[in-house]
Amino acid sequence: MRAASRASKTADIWFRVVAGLCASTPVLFLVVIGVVVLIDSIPVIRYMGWHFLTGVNWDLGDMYGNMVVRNGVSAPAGATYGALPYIVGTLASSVLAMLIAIPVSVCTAVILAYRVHGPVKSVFSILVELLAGIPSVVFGLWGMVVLGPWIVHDLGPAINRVLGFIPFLRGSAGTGLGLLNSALVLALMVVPILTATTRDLLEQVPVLYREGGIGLGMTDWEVIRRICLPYVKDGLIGAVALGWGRAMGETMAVLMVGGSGMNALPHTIFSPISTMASVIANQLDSALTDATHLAVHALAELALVLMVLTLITNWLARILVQRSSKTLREGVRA
Amino acid sequence: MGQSLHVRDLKAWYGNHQTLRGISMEIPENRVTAIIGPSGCGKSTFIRCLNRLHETTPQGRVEGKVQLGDADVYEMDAVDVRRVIGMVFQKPNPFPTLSIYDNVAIGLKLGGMRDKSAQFERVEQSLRMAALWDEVKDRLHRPAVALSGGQQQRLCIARALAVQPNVLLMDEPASALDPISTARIEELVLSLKENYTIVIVTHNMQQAARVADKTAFFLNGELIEFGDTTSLFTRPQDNRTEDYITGRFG
Repeated sequence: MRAASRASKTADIWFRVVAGLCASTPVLFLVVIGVVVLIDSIPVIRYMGWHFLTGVNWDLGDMYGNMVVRNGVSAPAGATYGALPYIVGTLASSVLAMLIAIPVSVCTAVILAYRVHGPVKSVFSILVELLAGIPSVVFGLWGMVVLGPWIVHDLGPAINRVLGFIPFLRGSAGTGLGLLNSALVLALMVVPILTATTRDLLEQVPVLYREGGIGLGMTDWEVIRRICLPYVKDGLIGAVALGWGRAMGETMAVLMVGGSGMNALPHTIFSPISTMASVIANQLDSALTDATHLAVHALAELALVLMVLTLITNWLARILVQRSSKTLREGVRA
Repeated sequence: MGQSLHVRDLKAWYGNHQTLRGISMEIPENRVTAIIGPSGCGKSTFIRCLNRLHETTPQGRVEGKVQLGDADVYEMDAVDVRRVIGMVFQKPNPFPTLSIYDNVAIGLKLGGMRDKSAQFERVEQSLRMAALWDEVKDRLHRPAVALSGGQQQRLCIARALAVQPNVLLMDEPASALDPISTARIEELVLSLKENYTIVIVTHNMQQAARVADKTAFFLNGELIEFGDTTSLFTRPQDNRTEDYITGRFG
């Protein structure tokens, strides 16, 4: 046997170096972004402490007046950064969006996977996936122009009439921009990816198991509820976590339809809100005029909290998936 | 108790491909009827038409008449049909996310049996009938996928028996199993015919000879010959039947 040529050995060394570099970039970026955001947040962490997470007021202070010094950090007089309304706004709008999106996506996916076939199926699938390609600013515009007035005139009064006995669902629809509008727009943006993933998952359920259910005299719904959904549960949790992460981080659409609520927690489903992402986009311009730079640091800490929240949801989803697949594995071993 | 099945001029298609070309036969109650024939002759399609499973496959279409006792199967609600005509499939398919107990109990739960002790009793009875009880009684709440292939297939039989159907359709129930498991399934079939009408599809002629009272030979979607198992195997009336059972084709 002849030894490999020098050229092929050199090529292999190059390949290893390049592949190693490429493979480490995602980790590198995650670490670098995390560290940068963390370092950027330090002045505000020192200035605000835990009140950053519990405070309700966000005030850049008198940027043309005197500066004050607290805990060794100089800030414009009266500056205070309380992010709680934005944390709540982010969680409330994204959770509400997922509550709307999950049933819609699962039902659509069931129809796509099992009920329609041939050309109808491909056309329908393409339409759903096209929805994912619409830029978020277009969703935002649609939310302002179409959804807002509809909430004011129809949906808001209807919710008040039917579910008005629940305090959180009772109140004036205001301008139609707010938590509900954000949730609906976010739901619409999450539905395509959730539907496509769920459809692919459902198509992987072996027909053998579905026929087992049908042959046992189960109705369509029972087959889906008892056999198909449990079978795809792990994947579904993953898809929901992904969609949730996307809904939490969505910026433009929520900036447009959220109503830019500041300095107050949402007290009804119609209240104006801001999310962490939309505040960062909204406030960056004025924050840059702060001579002490503390306002920018405050936005960096918002980004940090948003990142941590997204990581936590992903991590929770991972734990859920691991737990349920572990019980399945243990079963096989027994 | 079992009920008889009357099949009149049954035709079935997958898209444009016709797999059954007008089958008529009387399947007697409380007997084992075997369907034999080469691959692709339509024997599986035939029993999948009896419990209206064929129509759930994309592009599956059926014409003709199937009667269970006096009731027209194609006039009944399809879900109700499948509760009185149970089915065991070629590959064992216990529901992978459910425990052994729940695999058998799920049909009862969905059928509205709420009483836990009645449920447990029926599960035990079904598992005993399927000759599985002694092997699983200590681990009823383990996942069903932990069982061996032969045990899984007997679990599927118990699952089908639990809802107390009149007819049990078996689509090559032992083809994926080893010889010992196969023998157990065959014993089971013989013991069950007392209470059920059994239709069993098999590509194994010895199996048909061992378990069936009557045997039907299918070829290219047609019923070539149908009669008592012994006479069909010893004195076939049709040349094609003779060619098949003597191993000249298929």
